Amino acid sequence: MLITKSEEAFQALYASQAGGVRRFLQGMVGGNHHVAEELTQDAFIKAWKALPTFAFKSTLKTWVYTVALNTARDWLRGHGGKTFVALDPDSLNAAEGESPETRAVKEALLELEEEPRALLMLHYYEDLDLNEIAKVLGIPQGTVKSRLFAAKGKLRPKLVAKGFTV
Amino acid sequence: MKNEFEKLDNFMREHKPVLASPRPLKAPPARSWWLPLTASAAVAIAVLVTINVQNRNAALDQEALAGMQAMDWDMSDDELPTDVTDLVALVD
Repeated sequence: MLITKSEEAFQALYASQAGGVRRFLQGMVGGNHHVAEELTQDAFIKAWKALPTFAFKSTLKTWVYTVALNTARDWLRGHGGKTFVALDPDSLNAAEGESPETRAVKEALLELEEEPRALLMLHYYEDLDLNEIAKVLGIPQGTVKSRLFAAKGKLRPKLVAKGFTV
Repeated sequence: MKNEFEKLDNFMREHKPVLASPRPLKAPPARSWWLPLTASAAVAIAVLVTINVQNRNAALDQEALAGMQAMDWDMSDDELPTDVTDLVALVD
């Protein structure tokens, strides 16, 4: 149904997933919320165009995050070939109603490299399980487990340095 | 087994960034023009092939009928044996 008559269904998918995708993309592109907004639109438009090729090998949610991750990687490659973009402190402070602790956590995440950051955000923020993360990143589930463990090991000292006991 | 990162896990989940409402999606663009075209073309080809096969079969039937008529075969039903005994007699 989604494949053949899809505009309305796709809007529903957007409504349910775009917030999370935007948050994920914002983390991936160094915190810049303007870029994240644009990339969210781009990712969903790409997903819409590719919808006829969706093979039901994953859920729509993991598929949308896969498209989002590839969109972020394309953007990062197009900006000096770097996999890490300098922090954007202005946009980090832009979210209303966010506690200083949450902002500090975002900063700590942004200090990590692309892959551990993606892993941790998908795990903690987007609540994807190991199997879903494996599908998004295109790596085996066992590898996700070990890399997630390593990523947590990298994150903890960053938070400790900011004065948190974790 | 003790989770070495239990404290970190709880802390991270307690400090999830809020979800900002994304702006409405731009209207999804029309799909590439060749996608529906390819589908229509495939259907059209399938229909043409079917018609062609049907025509060819009809032509073969006509040809066979003409051949049988040329050989002066009597194909009226009353000449055909209706009973097994008749059939056996025919074979004998």
